[in-house]
Amino acid sequence: MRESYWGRYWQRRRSRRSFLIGGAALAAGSAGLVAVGCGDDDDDDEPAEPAAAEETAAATEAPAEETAAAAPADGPMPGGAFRQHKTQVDDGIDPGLKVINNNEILARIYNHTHLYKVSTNEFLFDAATAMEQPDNVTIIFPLRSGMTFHHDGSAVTAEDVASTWSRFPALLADQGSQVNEANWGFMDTITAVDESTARVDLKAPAASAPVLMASTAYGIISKALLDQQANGNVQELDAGAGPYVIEQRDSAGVALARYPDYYAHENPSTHFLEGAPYIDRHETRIIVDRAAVKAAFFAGDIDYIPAIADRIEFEEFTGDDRFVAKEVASTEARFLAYDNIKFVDKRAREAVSYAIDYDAMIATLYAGDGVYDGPVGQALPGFALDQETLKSYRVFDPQKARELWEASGIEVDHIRIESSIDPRGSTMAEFLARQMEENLGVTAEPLIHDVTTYVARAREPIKQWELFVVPYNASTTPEIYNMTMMNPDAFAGVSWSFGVDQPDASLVANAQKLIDLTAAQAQEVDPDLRLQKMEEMQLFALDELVPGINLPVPGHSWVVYNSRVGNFPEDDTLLGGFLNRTHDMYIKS
Amino acid sequence: MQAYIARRLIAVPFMLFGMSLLLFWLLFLRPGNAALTGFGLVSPDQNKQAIASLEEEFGLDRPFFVQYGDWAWNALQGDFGISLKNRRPVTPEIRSRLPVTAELGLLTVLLTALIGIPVGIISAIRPGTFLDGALRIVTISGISVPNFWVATLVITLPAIWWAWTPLWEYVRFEDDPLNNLKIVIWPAITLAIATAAYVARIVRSSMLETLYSDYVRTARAKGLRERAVVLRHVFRSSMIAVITVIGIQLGAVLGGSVIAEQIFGIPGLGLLVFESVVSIDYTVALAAIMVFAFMFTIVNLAVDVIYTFVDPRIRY
Repeated sequence: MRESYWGRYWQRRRSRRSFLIGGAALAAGSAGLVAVGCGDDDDDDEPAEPAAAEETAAATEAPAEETAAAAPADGPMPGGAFRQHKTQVDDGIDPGLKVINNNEILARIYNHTHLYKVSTNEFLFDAATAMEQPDNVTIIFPLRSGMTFHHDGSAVTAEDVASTWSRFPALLADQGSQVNEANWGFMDTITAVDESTARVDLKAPAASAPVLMASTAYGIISKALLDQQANGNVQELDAGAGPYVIEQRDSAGVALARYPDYYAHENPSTHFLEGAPYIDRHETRIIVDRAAVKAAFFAGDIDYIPAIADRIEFEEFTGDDRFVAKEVASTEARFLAYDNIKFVDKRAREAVSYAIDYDAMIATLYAGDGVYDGPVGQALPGFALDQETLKSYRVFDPQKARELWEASGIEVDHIRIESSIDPRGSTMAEFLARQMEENLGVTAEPLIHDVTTYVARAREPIKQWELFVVPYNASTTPEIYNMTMMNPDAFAGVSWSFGVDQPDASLVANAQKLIDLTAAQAQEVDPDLRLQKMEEMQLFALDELVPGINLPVPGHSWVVYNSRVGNFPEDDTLLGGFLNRTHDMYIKS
Repeated sequence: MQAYIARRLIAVPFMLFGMSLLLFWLLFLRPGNAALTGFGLVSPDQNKQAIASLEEEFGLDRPFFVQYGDWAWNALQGDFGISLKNRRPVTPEIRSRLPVTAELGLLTVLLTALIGIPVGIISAIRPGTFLDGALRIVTISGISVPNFWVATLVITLPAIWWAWTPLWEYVRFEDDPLNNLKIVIWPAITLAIATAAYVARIVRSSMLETLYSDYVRTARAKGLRERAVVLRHVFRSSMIAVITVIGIQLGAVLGGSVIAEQIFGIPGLGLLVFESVVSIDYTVALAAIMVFAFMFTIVNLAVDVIYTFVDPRIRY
């Protein structure tokens, strides 16, 4: 043995002492690694807020002093960091091109002429001092003075507004913008009347135009900076004049710091206050896993937890002084689309509707806390139909369902119900499949796919499904709410075979009628007349069951946030990205 | 030996070629693409044109072999193209994320060895005792429990009980080593639990095989101390199995990083793979998976080379 390789190797290189030393080092290293991992976070006992505030205090000394002077002594105080999360890195920050998964950046680095607050139905003026409408097809925005862009301190002018808003059509056609035509198609020309006045001429009267123009897609971009870009966009540049500048933006998250030269709002509203926004920093971390998000919230590492699934989850956060948990109006919506080319016979569409036990759906999916929904969703109570009317269209009658199904002569004996992998959507698809089997006498199966596959299957010319469950969130206007799902010029045309290019005459007639009714209400600027026309449009969709069925929605949504946050916009959090644009929110000292 | 390494290195490009072709084909078969996903379900006529123009720009409308050939030629030159989803260059993205996952992988392997080998040795030299039984229960549990569940518990329970979470804002090792370790140690421990348990089982069984062999009896008869017998003679001969297992487990660690990075919010290659596969951003997915494949191939080669140092009987 002594003469073996191993004998020589060990005797030469490893004495007993060296082995013991090595073992001790290994053990110490191991213990050290664990100790490092167990070590308390510096930001933990004394939360990140003071440290972050201290760090930013030096960088933002001037505005902090200004805001301190402006803020009431016993009310909101400037400083602190608001921390939130998102699940994936943004795809770019050009507001004309990308508006998904980047709202917390767009809303804060860009300024906008105005903001719409749904809960109080008011316009709050930011870059504009007013919104003048001399006639039904003209909107004029006088601009605030003193606004400067982050990148070079140059003044924001009406030319920048005109240049920014004129880009939408080209961005959609050439670069595949996420900002759909429904958001800007009503604008004809945008011109700079003078340095501080922008004028928008509409193609036709558009009742929702002022609300749509308040979205983050309308963030004002520096024309000079844009002109320097060879690719015609500012996907990776901060070209804004908003209250915050980008400090960090990478695969770990986003950090925004106060823009020292942010302009004063000399005629403050309830929201755009002189000296606001109060918060110094906004930090967004990428946390993909839902359990990790909740853990971070429980540990106080993030201040807000979005998308509370149901009351059971909501109750995990109640009764704890560290958190504020509020029940608010529901903003969830679900649409059950037909592949309309297979359901051209109205009796087949009716059969499906009669086969669904809507009350059982509410009891099963929403634990009894649900309401009926219509073409204009429940989150816009001023426009939505009342519950009694909606219930009269959502009757459960299995006998009638079978009779109508037989009478329609539809050649479908197996119903495939497509859904994405979101938990409630897939449960709903399973529920509907059982309903179809029990009440229509067909076989049915839920098809649950990841989002990409699901989108691709919606868009295939020949659909590989009969029914399609779509989840979506409420919006600030009827046009971008449920009606988007039903619009033959948008979703319904390509995804639900409900366009004017279809071969069936009755289908085309219904599609054209819905287009006309939608346009009529959209162009009606008299509020009372618009309501009438909107009701006519909704009742037509309900009567004809085209292009699908608005399924019941939860009776409530839930908002949970850390109690260290003051003036949290509870009633507007879930609509239109308001949270990211709030100026009067503050961190309690 | 050098000839063997050269032969193995020559084989690497062919393996990567086959792998890339297969991956490209599988991604090609999936319905939809990132250009499509970016638009969502809303698709008026203008979007049809935009999608067509995007597909043309990215070459998605070309035949499979043309697309693959184009990709492979550029990849050979270190250019993995641009992301279909956000049009950012893929190579810098990979370059920035690779060290994160490499660090996680190395730390996991280190912890695997530090935990698995001592546990296996202790279990083997005390067979049938209470300690051995307890360690066997622990190791079988470690193998049986899925790492995503362990990770979820590691995240959730301390947050509920003590308002503490291992989720910190990620900092790179080169910027702040201590805080970096505070973050990375938790996913590494999570991943190491299963691999260490597996290594412990292998160490135990292979050591038990040799503990009662003739040459070990001879060593004891010569009057060698038990520690010397165990470490010089028994454990040494178990090293081949241990090295093999650790090498193979590195593949599991790389795969596990997809889950661990997702749960612990570590911006590494695993998270990039997850995001890109979900969004069919196949330029990113392909590049990231190929880097994984390359790393695994090299590790396997290294394991083969290490054999020759550990066991002189092995000759190539």
